[in-house]
Amino acid sequence: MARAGTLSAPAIPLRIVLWLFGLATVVPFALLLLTSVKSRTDVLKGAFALPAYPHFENYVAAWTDGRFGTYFVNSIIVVLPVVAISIVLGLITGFAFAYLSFPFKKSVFVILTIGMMVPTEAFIIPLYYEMLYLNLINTYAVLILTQIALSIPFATIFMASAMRQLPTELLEAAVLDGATRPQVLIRVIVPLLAPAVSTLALFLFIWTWNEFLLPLILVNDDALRTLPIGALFFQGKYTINTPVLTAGAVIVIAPIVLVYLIFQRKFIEGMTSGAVK
Amino acid sequence: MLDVLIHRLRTGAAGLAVAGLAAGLCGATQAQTLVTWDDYTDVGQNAVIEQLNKNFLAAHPGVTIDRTARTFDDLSMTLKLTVAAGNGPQVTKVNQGAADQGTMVKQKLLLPIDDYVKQYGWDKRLSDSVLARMRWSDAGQFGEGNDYGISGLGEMVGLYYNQKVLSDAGIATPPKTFEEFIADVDALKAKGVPAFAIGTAKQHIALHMLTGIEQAHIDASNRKALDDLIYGRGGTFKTQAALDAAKLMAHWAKDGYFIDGYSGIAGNDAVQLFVAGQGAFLLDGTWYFGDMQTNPDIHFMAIPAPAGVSKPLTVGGIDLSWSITSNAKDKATQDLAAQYMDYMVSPEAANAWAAAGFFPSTTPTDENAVKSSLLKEGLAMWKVLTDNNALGHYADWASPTMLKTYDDNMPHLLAGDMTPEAFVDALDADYQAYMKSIGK
Amino acid sequence: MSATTAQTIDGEFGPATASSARPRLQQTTSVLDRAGGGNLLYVIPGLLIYAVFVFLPILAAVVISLTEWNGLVVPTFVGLQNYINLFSDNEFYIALRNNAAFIVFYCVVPLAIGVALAAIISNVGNRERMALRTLFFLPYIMPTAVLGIIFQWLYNPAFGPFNQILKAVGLGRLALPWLGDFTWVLPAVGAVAVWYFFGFCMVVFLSGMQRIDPSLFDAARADGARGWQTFWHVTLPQLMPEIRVVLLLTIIASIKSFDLIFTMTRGGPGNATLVPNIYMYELGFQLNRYGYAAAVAIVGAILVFVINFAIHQGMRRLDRSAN
Repeated sequence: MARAGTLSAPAIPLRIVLWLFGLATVVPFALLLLTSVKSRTDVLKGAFALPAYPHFENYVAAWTDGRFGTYFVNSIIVVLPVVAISIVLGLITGFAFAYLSFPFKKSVFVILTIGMMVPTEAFIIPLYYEMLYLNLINTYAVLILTQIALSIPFATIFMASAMRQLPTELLEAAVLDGATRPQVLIRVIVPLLAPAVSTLALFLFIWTWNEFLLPLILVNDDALRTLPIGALFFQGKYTINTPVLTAGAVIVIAPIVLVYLIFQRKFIEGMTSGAVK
Repeated sequence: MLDVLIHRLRTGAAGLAVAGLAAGLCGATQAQTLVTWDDYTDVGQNAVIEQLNKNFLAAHPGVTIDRTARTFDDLSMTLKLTVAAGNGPQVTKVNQGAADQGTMVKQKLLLPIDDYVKQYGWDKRLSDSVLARMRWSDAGQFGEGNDYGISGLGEMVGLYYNQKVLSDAGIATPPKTFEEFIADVDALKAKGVPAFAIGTAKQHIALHMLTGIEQAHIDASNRKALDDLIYGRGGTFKTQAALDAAKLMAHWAKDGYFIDGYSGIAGNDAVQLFVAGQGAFLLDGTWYFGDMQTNPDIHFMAIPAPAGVSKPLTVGGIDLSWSITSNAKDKATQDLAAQYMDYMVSPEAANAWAAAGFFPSTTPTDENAVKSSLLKEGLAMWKVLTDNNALGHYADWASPTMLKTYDDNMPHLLAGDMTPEAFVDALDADYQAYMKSIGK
Repeated sequence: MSATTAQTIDGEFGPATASSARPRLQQTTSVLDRAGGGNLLYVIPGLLIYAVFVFLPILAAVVISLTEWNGLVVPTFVGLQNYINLFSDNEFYIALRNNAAFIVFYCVVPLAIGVALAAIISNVGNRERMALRTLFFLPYIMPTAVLGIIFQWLYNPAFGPFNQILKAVGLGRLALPWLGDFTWVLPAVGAVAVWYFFGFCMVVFLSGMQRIDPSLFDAARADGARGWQTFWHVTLPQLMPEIRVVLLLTIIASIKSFDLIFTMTRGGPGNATLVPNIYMYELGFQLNRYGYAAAVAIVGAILVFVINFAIHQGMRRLDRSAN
């Protein structure tokens, strides 16, 4: 599993470089946390100055005035089905691209990749009118369906390329044993792809959780908003309350960091078990 | 943790079902529901509007308000699109000027409210100069024709000064004339004290500073040219006052009159720095009263006028307009919307805003409600402006692209890689292109 | 879209297929393939959702780019006029030039750091490696809109930590107004992109390295290769599929970049950080010129294809010269 046998362990200076990079990723968040418990005047005294006492009331203000409770539940309601359904569709469509022949395969592939390259801003207006026509504006469904659709290209390509790396002998053996194609997909391919699937889940979770433009435009009911929109709630036209804004930012990123850390363990296990083979 | 998430999801899903059921029932019974959008997302403003809504509901049993608050940017991005699609609010805040309100009027997305203005006497609560900012003719002429909105909060761009910083620099009283103001600024500079707190990375302090100084050089008796310019009747941005103001700004920026690093500081942060004692002056609007009042040394006054100008204009107006959208289809809904708007400009609402430190566009009836000394200074100034008909204009209303043109060119003017003449030319080019596009 | 684009994309498809390291991946038919319509059952569900919610609106955007439209009334057809105007639009060229500069920060630098870090980190102890990797990847999971808010404050010249540190160590002269300085604003925003992407690159490369056959390293060592040489002759060539994927993803990200730049500078000061996407936003949502905005978007998408094609060609040449 470890690569210790392949190369010698790096020298101390290199390890220091590593940890400096590690530090650089954390410091901004540490400062963010610190700022979120400052008073507005504390903020001006410099980034490293400690407040006289922690101002947790910033969190109360963010939670009550920013309605983060509702937004949090909304984010969950949207993210979970998007991730789950996108993975299933990614597996099925990816299976087709990896192993099956069908008409216009290349063209269909180009059409899929277009979706990855065109920014959402470019087609949000026609999308809005289409959703209006379908009577989907202001629903959870619109947030879920559009984000599944946006995830399909990446999920498909990612799954297909992972499948192409699987040893064909295993698939041949399964077919010789008389397994049908759905059986091969579910019993042989999916277990082998577990690490790739968890990586994909992580990506999709992050992208969907952080999505800003779609919920902003396709939903205009406060009760259906997701967290990233709430994060900007404290930026008025002319006034800004930095500590409350940062407290709001912490509330937005805390769940994602937590889920990341939970997911990360599986993610790592998946990868290392893949490395053993 | 996962268990918690799953639990939340379940309760969320249950809530969703209940909400769907409730929505279905509401739709069936045709209860009086008023859908409102506003931009009161700031914590302080949010508290006031929530209270006002509660009061309104208490006075109107059977009515429910479905309120969505949007930040200023979100509002301008989504409002037109949503209403055009037959969705969204029945009563909404909308930014005045050609880009938002003008476009919506043209597409008949807003309803004229002339009848309600008469019925409720809004023209007695708000001055004609204020109401004109929400008027559009059928031919698309700004500033005349039908009324399309009213507004509950006033705005003025003035001079904030920190008396303590001035006194420390040996300046006993704030400047009375523009000449004194220039002398004070130079004296501060000579002492090594940054004269101005300003930040140009975000918000529009530089724009308000420049246009504030420019319009303080215009006497109310000569305001017609400015009115014509803003209301799209034609004119020019290449005036001596504009050029002088641009030269002054460029000089101050280049020769170190501004706080260090101003170009990398957002306007909101500059205000925080000013409150913390940096800079002697800050030129911007009354919307910063809430922040400014935490430092008792800070006062507010009109930008001093040069000799010969007795009734100087003050840049300002009102906050975003309350308007009725085309979504208010039947008379009953429109009447309810008007009742709501009437409450938003009522003395009771003015008192509530004033008590929270915000600047109402109508005079509060309750003197005791005004606790902040800044607000008292501001209200006195507002009265003078109303009496003198000296409320100036936001220059960026002149064309749909003017704000962007200011934003694009201002950093170059201040960095010294654009001459004041070229700056004024760029503004005028934008304006004349707009005039041409509307056939003037 | 032309046949060449199709080829490009097809080459992109399945990062490992283009690598000549594994002949068995070169196969064209699979034991799982069947004749007849059954195959379509696997394609249609995903494709249908994608078509309805993404591809159809994109096609509509292409049509809109041929019109003049304020987003409200019926659009006026103007043919290719928007595209013709684009070619003489100075602001668009500025946006393109800025975007080219941003590609260095979105792609080149994070990729270099990512490969280097992955090479070092793959040799540290297991637990330390996991801990570091968790840290490095952290920025990538963050909402970029929130990151913009954080970094805007980090860069603040008056009370932000960067300049505070510079002043504390006697480098006060370097304490610039970062996001307001015409020269330094682009590198300052770019540095955030580097910070955001380097860990992502590292993780992809690390998982790529775990796929490399250990016997290759043993063979290199037997040949007397030192650490640096092993990296150059074994690790790097073996990572080509991952490098291509990373390049593709980061270049797409740089051309799609919006949130980070928007929250930090809105394209300013002046137009110093204007990129096509911000320009598109201004044209569409601020100036209501949706037709012209759509044309900007379409040109941006075509650019992605072109750059993608260039990468593919470059990589193929590299592969060939390596063999």
